[in-house]
Amino acid sequence: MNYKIRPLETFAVGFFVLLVWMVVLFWGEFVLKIAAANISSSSGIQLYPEGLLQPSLENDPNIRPPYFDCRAGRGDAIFYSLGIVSSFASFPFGEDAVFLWSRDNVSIYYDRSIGNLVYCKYMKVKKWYEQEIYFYVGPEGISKTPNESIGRFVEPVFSEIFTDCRGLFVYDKALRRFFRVEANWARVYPEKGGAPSMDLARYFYAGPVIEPNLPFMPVQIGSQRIVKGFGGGISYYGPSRKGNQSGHVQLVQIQSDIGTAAGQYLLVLDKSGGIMGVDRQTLTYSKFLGRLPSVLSFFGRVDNPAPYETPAYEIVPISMVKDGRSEYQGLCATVMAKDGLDVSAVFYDKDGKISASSSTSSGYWSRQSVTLGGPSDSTYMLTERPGGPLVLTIKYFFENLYPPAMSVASFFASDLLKAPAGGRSIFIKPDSFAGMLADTARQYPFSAFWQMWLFIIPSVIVSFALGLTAMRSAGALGYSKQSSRVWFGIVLLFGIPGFITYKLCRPKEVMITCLFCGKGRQTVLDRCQNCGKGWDTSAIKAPDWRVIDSPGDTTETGEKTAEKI
Amino acid sequence: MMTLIKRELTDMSLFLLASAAAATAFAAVLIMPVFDIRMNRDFWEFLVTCLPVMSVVFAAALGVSQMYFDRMRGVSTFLCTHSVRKEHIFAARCIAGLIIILVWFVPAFLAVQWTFAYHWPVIFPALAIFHKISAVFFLGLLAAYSLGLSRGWTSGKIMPTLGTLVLLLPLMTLVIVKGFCAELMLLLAVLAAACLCRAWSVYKSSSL
Repeated sequence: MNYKIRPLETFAVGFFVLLVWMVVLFWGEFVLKIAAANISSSSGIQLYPEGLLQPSLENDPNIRPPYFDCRAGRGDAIFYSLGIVSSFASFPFGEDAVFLWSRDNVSIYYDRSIGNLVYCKYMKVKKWYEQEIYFYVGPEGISKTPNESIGRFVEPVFSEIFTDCRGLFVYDKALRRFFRVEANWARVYPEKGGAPSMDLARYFYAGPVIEPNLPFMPVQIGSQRIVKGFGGGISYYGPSRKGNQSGHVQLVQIQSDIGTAAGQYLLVLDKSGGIMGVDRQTLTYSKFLGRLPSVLSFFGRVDNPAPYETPAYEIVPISMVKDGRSEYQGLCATVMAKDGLDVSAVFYDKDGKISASSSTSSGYWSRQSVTLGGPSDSTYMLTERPGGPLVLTIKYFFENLYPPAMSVASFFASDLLKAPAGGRSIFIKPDSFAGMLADTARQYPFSAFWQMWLFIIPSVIVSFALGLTAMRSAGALGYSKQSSRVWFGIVLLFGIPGFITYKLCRPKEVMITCLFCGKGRQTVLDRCQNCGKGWDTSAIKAPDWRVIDSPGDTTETGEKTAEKI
Repeated sequence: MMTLIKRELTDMSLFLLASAAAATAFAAVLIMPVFDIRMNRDFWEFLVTCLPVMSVVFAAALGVSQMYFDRMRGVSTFLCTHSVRKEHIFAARCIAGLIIILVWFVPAFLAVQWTFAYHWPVIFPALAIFHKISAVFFLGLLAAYSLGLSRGWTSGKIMPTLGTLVLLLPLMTLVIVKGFCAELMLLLAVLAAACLCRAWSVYKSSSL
């Protein structure tokens, strides 16, 4: 009798073991990420863009020019990658968000079930609240009742709503159109508690359909800034003059006409990482404003990262008031590397040209920038900073505890997992060595592929050895040859979790030593499953005589039997 | 089958009572603010966050107890002498376990739903995330219960209790890792099915 693998039970046990194993490794890696972020001495970058000051102030030594302070917030980005944080952090805005704005029981939200924006108010009646809906907004217009004539948004992306902003902007990926909806409640309801204006049409404007052949695929839009996952983020400090007040030297803000706003544009972040300006009035594509800056990973520079390739970025525009109108002057964009170590920042002027740029990576900063603290990129921190090599070694050790199949999958599927979702992935690890090598695979695919094997070779060797052990053990236990080979394959692919699965799934037989071959044999079989010999029964050979009936049996049957004998 | 389920529920009457009591207490705590009944806010938050965690441990303990006491008292051995098959005993056990979990889960779910829908509609979009939390919580209870079933069929006392707790810990942290997303729901559903499959396999192949 040969044992066979029971697929369902093997899958059940294997899945459980693999899940527990990977969750434990996840937390080990998480602690390592925090450790790596904490050995950095760098705290951020300051960018000093040129051309924003009035000419008379430009060369004044007592004037501190305007600058952007870009704080890294590495630890925050690592915590932000946790699912529980993003589940609640993305509550007002973000991919899962439906809730857009609320104040004084007045709310604007997106109702997925009807595909419309809803403007409503809640009133407390005794202990209960009652909802009064003022109007619905769809891609075709505004209506006081939900009806099909206003259409449905299909894949909407919303801009943020600030208290003082006038418009809520919507881009529908499926319809390829921008929409502008009034969001300032004071304008919709001039008198507090008063009835809304009946002229609903003036609250809504739909832009033209973007041509299908135009390579323009917005993923995020913002009227004042675009943010993903940054803890500290970008702070803008206006120009100031050294003043003397009450005997203390203080900085006095000057030229207050500069502020963080996008002027005539709506900021649009494209799928490719490009930052575009869309005219706020006509809702048509206006110009290229910049792109997300390159960052340094452990295996080299990642040029022009796409939004999904980075766990955190922030884009802050700047504008100047001229003749009562806000005019766009440029934007500052920062990006964090996938491993959370390098942070790059760049300032694009109003023509979309780089005016200042910097990175926390060693030896890379321009004249118009200051790197706060020491350099900070993964290569520098993990090889030269105190404690870095230890973190690097432990990371290498941890990654070789992954099943080889998962490491190879991380290499090939790294691009499929969007950051920061990749940071909370249990089975596929985009921020592992194999995953990070995949980022360089676009330029050197074959070289990256072979390098990947160098990084996971210890786990492959261990899995191979464990696979051989499992195969031999399975053969000795009485598994068929085919089943033994399948166990070898499972353990080779899944490494230690595969071996634990084998140990849990193998039959719990009590084996005894075969007298002929010396290997363990099953007690339930007539013949040894290894050598094919039967049991040695010479010691229990039946005697020539035997008692058929008991001596005291005097029954009729007993007498007859005795006579026969 | 009904008789077997009743018998299982009678055996687990302590769990059933505890489940009903915890459900009533949890529902009461949740709807207290609706009726302006004041409670120490820290204590209220402690209850609202700790009870779900404790209930996952409770579900695992329920599964372990069902299997452990069966083996210790020879319940299945006795039942199998009465023309009852192992499949029936196991199915009745799972249904009884599910009933106990539902006795705990449904009142709490309805209380939160009712509170959100009528008292705090201003944050009613939170209902969307609440439904996700509820689904994850329910699947988590099922997974923990199935894990308990798969770990309980043993003669030792240490392994079914401590071993299950040790295995529960990394699984509970899955919520922190993944958040309340569809991916986690799928993982928990597959995990529950896998543990149930393992529990059945161990139970079926054991000699009574």
